[in-house]
Amino acid sequence: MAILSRYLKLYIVAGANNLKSLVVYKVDFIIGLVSMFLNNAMRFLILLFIFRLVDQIKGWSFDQMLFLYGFSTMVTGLWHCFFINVISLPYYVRTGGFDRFLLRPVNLLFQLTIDSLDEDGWGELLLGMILVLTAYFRLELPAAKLILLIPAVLSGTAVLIAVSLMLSSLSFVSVGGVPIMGLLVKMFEFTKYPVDIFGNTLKIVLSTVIPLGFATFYPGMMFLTENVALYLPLVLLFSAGYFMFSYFIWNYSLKFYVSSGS
Amino acid sequence: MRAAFARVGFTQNQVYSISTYLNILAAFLFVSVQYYLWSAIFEHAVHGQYSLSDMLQYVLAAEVLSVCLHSNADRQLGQMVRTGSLAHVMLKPVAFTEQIFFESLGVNAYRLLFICVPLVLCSIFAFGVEYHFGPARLAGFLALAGLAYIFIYLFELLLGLISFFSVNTWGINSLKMAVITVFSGRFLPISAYPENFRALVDELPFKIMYFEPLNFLIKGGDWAGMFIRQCGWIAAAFLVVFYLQRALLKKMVIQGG
Repeated sequence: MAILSRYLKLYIVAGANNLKSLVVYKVDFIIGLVSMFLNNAMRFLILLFIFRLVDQIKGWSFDQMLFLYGFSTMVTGLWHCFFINVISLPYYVRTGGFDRFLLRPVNLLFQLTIDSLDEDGWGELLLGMILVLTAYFRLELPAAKLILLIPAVLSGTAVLIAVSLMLSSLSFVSVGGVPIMGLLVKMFEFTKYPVDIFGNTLKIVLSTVIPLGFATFYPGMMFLTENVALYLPLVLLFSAGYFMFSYFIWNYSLKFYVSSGS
Repeated sequence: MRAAFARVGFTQNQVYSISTYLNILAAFLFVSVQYYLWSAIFEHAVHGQYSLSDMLQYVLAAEVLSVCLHSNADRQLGQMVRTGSLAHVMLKPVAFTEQIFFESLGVNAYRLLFICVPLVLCSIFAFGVEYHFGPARLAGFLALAGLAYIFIYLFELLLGLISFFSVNTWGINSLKMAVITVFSGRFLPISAYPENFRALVDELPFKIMYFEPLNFLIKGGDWAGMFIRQCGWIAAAFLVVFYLQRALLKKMVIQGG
């Protein structure tokens, strides 16, 4: 318990510092927020244009796709706000900044995530929420299920964190020059659409080895089907298990870390 | 000197070989998303000028362009302003605009070889995508894409000059992406846009970045007309950048390191 409250305190201090740096550059903060929101909104506009061409994709209606797209935007937004620094690991390794973390008596992953919280993600999160709620009402989903959004979004985010964690562990093995961001952006594309449009082989890959299906599709199924009793435990157990597995891999790869000395 | 800058840009990327494998993986993932998404969309009859094969060629070629067609001038300039290194850069006997341009050529040559070639090969051999254009069409496309490169460079330079007012280059970058996403035809041919929106996009210069070269590659069309339009927009962008840069450099304050 004492450890938990200590970490909470640290997080608050880091968050407050981050907020202070935002207040210094108020205009920049607003520019970042608005433009990130716009950027995502425009991507969504293109999807709207595509949907104008057809009324359904592989049996998925526009509103269902909207729900999944919004959910994906929310989950990536949350990841972007709080965990994006995981992918900066190559930078810390290359510049020797990681040595600084090793000297402190605080969990390494925790230090890495709080070293930079990214306010630009808030616009993404906001757009995601708007889209999800819009789809929710258009699909006339039961209001009682709304509470399930919280575990669904959290477990979805956990999967994204796990995937980014695994990729970032590569930089312990190879000294830093890993272009994780580009690869991750390409991977996250899979979370925007229903997994079953990608053909059987990829569907299996996306449900097991690179389980991006568990970031949005399976949590989304809690809402788009009646099968809550199946999907809720499945999603929670899988994301928790996968997250722990990736954390284990991360810790294991840490053994290969050699300081760059700079 | 210019070739040296290009060489620097090229070799900067060469240090870590693992990145090459990851780039190939990223290319494979990208092609598979596009392939399955568009195949699913075209399962239900789509009315429009583009067939499934045309559309796949378009989105893949658009990705190739987006990998190679950016100078990063906005980010680089923003960084120079923020850190104050602009002062050193300006002391060099080469204009910083030129340095950015030629370094970016080297970077993009690397990206063309190590990101685009795997992407195209992967689309052909793993997904059976066929590219229908002949050598003449390709040559015409390359000329248009070359001009698009210059236009994008000027556009990014203009955004970079904005960083004299705001140090949030990430925000400016997002804004740039937003503009390119809808107005240039980066993700969808403009001919597939809704009618009234297309009318607006047609009036703006951004379609010369992606849509016009790509549409020429896949569908052909009035090459000379596009060429002249591109030259016109480039001249206009050049004048804006030139005068803005002159005005800004006169008033410039360097942030102390």
